[in-house]
Amino acid sequence: MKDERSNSVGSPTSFHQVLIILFGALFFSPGGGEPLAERVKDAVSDSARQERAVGAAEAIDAAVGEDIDFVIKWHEEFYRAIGGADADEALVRGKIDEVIDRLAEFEQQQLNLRGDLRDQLESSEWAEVFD
Amino acid sequence: MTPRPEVTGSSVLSSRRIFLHLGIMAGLIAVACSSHKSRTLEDVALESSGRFAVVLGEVVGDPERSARAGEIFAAYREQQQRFAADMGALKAEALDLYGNYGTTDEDFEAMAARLRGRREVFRDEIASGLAELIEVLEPDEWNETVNLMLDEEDRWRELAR
Repeated sequence: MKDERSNSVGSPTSFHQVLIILFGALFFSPGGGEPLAERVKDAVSDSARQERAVGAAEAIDAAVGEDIDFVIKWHEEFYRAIGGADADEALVRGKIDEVIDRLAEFEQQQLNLRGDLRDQLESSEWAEVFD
Repeated sequence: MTPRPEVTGSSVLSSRRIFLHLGIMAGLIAVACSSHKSRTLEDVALESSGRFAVVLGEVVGDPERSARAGEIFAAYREQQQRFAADMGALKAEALDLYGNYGTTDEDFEAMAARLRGRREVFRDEIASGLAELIEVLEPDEWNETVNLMLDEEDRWRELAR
């Protein structure tokens, strides 16, 4: 399984990678540049189950980047906060706690979405999508 | 574009860059396994480190504060490197779990706890280092430092386009 956010500086996501690798949620990894939904569609032949599985994969695809957007926004807020005249250790800790808590929520959300997809796939289909 | 805090002083040339480089080094070292055409992120990290060393030579006005800022930076950099290495390992594990059909909820809960734990250790380190830096720098120097960090964000955004 690939994670497109850990590759190169200068790529369209390089700035984001810096933030994400430090603080970012870790589980999103549709990989390969191809939408997960496409790979799921290819892997599942049963038409009724395919529809549900593709729907679950589309939800994962749609959620990709939410964590990145949050981290960038947080990062700027963090700078503004610590640049204030009243900045101290407690303030810094509080701001970092915000991002830690939110990232845990993102990760849980991502795992929930993964669970939805897994419920629709046989193990062999799962392997075809992710191996 | 992010609104800039007001700049209140003039002792700007060196100390203001300290934290800028802290932030940059963090990210650059963290992705040191990456590559970019002829220039890897490791190369960029080393360039930043080199620039920082030069900047530190000019630093803060008085040698004592300059030396202290340098110590803080060195400690922070070590923390960042450890954090990056640990998070890289955790990330690899997390991705393996994600891709494994048989992974249980308990497995993910254990991983989440490890991620949180490591982030919290890093938070403690950052908070402590920042508090020290705020004490070492004059208010105008700190203010300018933050401005430069924001400028650096803009630079990365440009690079990313």
